[in-house]
This record gives sequence, C-alpha cells and structure tokens, in this order.
Amino acid sequence: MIKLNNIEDLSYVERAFAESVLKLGKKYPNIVILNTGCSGNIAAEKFSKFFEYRCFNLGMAEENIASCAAGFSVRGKVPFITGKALLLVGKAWEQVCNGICYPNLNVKIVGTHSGLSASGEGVISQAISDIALMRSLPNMSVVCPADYRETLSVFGNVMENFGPTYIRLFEGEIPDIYDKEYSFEFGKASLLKEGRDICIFATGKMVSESLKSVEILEEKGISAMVVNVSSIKPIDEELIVKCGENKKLCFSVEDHNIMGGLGSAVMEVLGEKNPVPLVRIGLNDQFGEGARPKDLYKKYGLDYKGITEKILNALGY
Amino acid sequence: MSNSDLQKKAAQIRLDALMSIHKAGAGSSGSVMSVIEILVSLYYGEILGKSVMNFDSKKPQWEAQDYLFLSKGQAVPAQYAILADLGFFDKSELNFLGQINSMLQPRPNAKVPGVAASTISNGHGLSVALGVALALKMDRKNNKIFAVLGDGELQSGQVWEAAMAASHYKLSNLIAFIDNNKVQAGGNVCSVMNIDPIQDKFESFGWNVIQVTNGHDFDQILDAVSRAFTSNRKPVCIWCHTVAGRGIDFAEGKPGYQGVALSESEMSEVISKLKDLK
Repeated sequence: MIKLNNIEDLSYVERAFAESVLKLGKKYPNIVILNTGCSGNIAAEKFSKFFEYRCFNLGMAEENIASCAAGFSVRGKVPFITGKALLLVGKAWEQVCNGICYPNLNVKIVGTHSGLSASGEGVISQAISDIALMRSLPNMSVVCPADYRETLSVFGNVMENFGPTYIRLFEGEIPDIYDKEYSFEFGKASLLKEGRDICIFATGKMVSESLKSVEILEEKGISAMVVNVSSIKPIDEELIVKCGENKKLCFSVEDHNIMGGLGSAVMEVLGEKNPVPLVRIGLNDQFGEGARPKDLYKKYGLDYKGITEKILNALGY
Repeated sequence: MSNSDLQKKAAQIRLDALMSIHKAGAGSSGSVMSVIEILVSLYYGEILGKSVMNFDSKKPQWEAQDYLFLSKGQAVPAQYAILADLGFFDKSELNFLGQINSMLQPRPNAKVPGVAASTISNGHGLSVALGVALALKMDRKNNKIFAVLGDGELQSGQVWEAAMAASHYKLSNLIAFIDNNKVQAGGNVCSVMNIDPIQDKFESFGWNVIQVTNGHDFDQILDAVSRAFTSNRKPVCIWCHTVAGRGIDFAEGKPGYQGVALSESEMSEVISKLKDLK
C-alpha cells in the first residue's frame, strides 16, 4: 500500500482539488464555487473556464461569501467556498457557525494555504488554528488529506457526506503516499505502517514527513506505527484506541497549533477510552513568520529531522 | 386586501406577536412593532390585484415562491405570527416561542415552515438574500427576494459587502427594506453609531433607493414596492421611516423597550387597545 521509495513522484494537493472539482461539476449540476478574491486559486480558475455561470468571485469579503453560501443552499445548490484557510475560517467563523452549521447546510469549505505551507506572505496566510475552530462547530466535518491521491478520493466522497465539511489543503509538492486503489472514508483513519514501540498519528502534510522520520527511527531500533488521521472529525475512535494499545508512547504530528488540533482530538479519544501518554508535535502555541516553507518547517521542527529529534527526545535517547 | 383590512390584520399580528413575546418572557418588543406594516404589506398586500409575494402555505419548499429574509432576526415573532395566521403551522405554536423543545426559536430558524434560512445573526440577511438571488439568476428564474434589515445592523460591514456584490451582479429582483426606526439595543442609532445618510450610501453602492416617509402607511409601502418591481438592472432599497414600538403608546420611540418583553400590566393595557382595532 505504501510506496516510500517513490518519493520523487511529486504532486500538489491543490491540483487534485482542481481536477476533482471539474469532475464533480460535471456530475452534479447543482455545485457552485464561491471564490474569495485571492489570486492563484487554480480550482476556481479551472472551474470558471468550464462552468462560467456557476463560479462566483465575491471579492475579499469572506463574511459575505459564507452567508451567501447559505443563500445558495436555500435553492438546492451545493456551494464550495474556497479561499485562504486563515481568512475564510477566521473572518467568517460566526457566519459558518450560525448560518451554515446551525441549520446543517450542505456547504463545503475548502481552505488552502494551511499551516506553514504558504510561502512568502508570513502569518497572514498561515492558518494555524483552523482545525481547532472548525472542529468545535456542531455538524461540521473536518478533513485534512495527506497527498494528491487522498485529496482526489476525499473530493470523490465529499458529496456522499451531507452537511458542512471543512477540507484543509496545503501548498507545495508532496510525495505520493497512496496508490490508486485507496479510497477515503469519512470517519476512518488509515494505518500506513505497523510498529510495536510507538504510534505516530499524523495528518495532512505531516504524514509524509512522519513516514520519512520513521525510517530513521527504525535504524535506531525503534519500531513505529504510523496512522494517517485525515478525517479529524468524525474521528476513527476504534482504530486510534487499537493503535494506542501496548505502546510506550504515542505522538501526534500536525502542521497546526498543538492546541485544539489533531493532538487534542486524538487525546480526547485516548483519554476517555484507553489512556496512553501522547506527545503533541506541532507549532508550540506560537506564530510562524514570513520565509520559505522549507526553512520554516526546519526552524519550527516540522520536517522529518525535527520530528525525529522530538520523538527521540521524548523517548529519552 | 383593502387598506382597512390590512390595518386590522396589522393590529391582530401586533397582538399575537406581543403575546408570544410576553409568554417567552424575552424579546424585542420595540423592534417587532416597527416592522409589522412592512411584513403585513409583503405577505397580505396586493398590487394591481396580484399579491405582492408568491407563496403557498401548504408547500413551504415551493420552487416558484418569492423569498423573504428577516435580517433583523430579533423581530421574528412578527413573522411567526404572520406565518401562523397564514397556516404555515398551527397557531398554538406561538405559545411556545423560545421555550425548551419549541420549534419557534427566538431568531429565524429554517426548521420553521415558511422561514427559508436561519438568519440568526444581524447583518447576515442581505448576504443570504444575495446568495438566493445569484442562484436564481444562474437558473434564469425571476422569483423575487425581499430582505428586511434593521437600521442598527447597517453598522455591520457585511451588509455593505453584500450591497456591493448585489449591484455588481445587477440583481434587480432583490429588494431590501430598511426598517429605519432610529433605535437600537444600545440607545438611539444616531448616538451609538450614526448610519446616515442611508440614501446616499446605497445609491453610491449602485442601488435604486425609494424613500417611504411613513413606514406604517400601507399605501406608501405598496406604492414603493410596485415601483421597485420595475427596477432595471439595479437592486432596490426601500428606505422606510418607522417608529420603534409603534402601536404601544408608552413605548413609541423609546430605546428602553427595544430588547424587552412587556410586563403583565403593560400587556393588559396593550391588549385592550389592540382588541378594539382588530
């Protein structure tokens, strides 16, 4: 299932979004795209070329867009709102909460530029609290796909999951983790690698980094299990509890603040069902800064070297 | 419906709405009273023998219906009273407004037959109406969309985002009412945060503005609506001057009654007066 050797085979999750949305647009005539004013949203650009009358650019007005989506669903449309995750989730949170989640409308929110993946612009385009904000809303589902194929699969299934859904995408190239047979399911995590000593729960961009760091850990004789928790809400309680069994220590790795994100979600499950100590790896309640993503991940310890170091430290090496 | 019938209907809706607020023990009496004539004109009024709004109380999801969004959600008891009167749901539901397990929530809730969207928060309504208008335009349908806004909520930036987009997309089937009762929850609108000049603001955002100097006069409101129906390639704002707490002599124009229910003794005074008008 996993093709770790195939690391050169790079692709973008945003490209997968653009491709899927075209397929969906063809299949479902009631899908519309509401786009914020940000440039470089390839999905909206492609969609508007094929379905000009179903793509609306409403400018830099996230609050208006979120409420507008509620209006579209009154007429039976399925709006996909896209924009930078921080602005979309941050500015329009109340509109999403009261206007979309409370009446449980079938609105899909696709946030791009999540975590430290956005290049150049600094904290303004780095969404580091969006999982926490979206996860706490009743009726909302939260998904962070880990690679190109998983993104395709998420969008392939998104119309089956009625209700508000937040899909968190990141910028930049990402190695392929899954092959064509993989199929994403809401509420299901996937076990990427078996291991005896520790378990790493990762999401989004951090899944491939975790897989790389596991290779180094193996050399040191640590057998690590890796679980991709792409469906953060609903979360796969059964698999998480099972994976936590008989482990020395568990880890969560996310490109997000360590508060309220994946780490918290996994801890909530483990804490209630099968308490195992868990170390959260992510942004340590701090902001990013404007720099190249590669340098950022290095500085904040979220590349495979940083992750390995943190795991080894926690294990007392 | 003739003018005198509309006036009788307004008195009845006033009474029903005030009773439900009184039973709930909380609500915005002043805000509800100022919007009654606007809502009654839209739901019961006729222009050239045709009703202003197309709707079917037996088919709340009807495709061809016209839409009304109450952006000033605190005034929803007025809309509930009308919807109950029109037979969207049973009138007894009004007794349970804002109580545990009640269908009628203190703010518009899409679960209620006849309420198309949950415009809970002030400032959302015009954006929701914009979304519906865009969806209709996309399908080449010409259902009409009404949004009823308070004056205090014009302070929120989202209203102007929506106003900008509505004129950008030339949504001439979108009609926004401004219930300009000059009072908001924190005091008088002009002292909290002045929103004047309303006409200049909307016109500069690309809207047609029709002023109604007495927002409690059915002739004026219906005349404005008939003029709005002929608008060409521009959304229309019908700016109504109203009085907060209209119909309750001791509450008219007073900010103190904006966010409260009436007491027992106040209610009995109002009931005796409104029953005569009914």
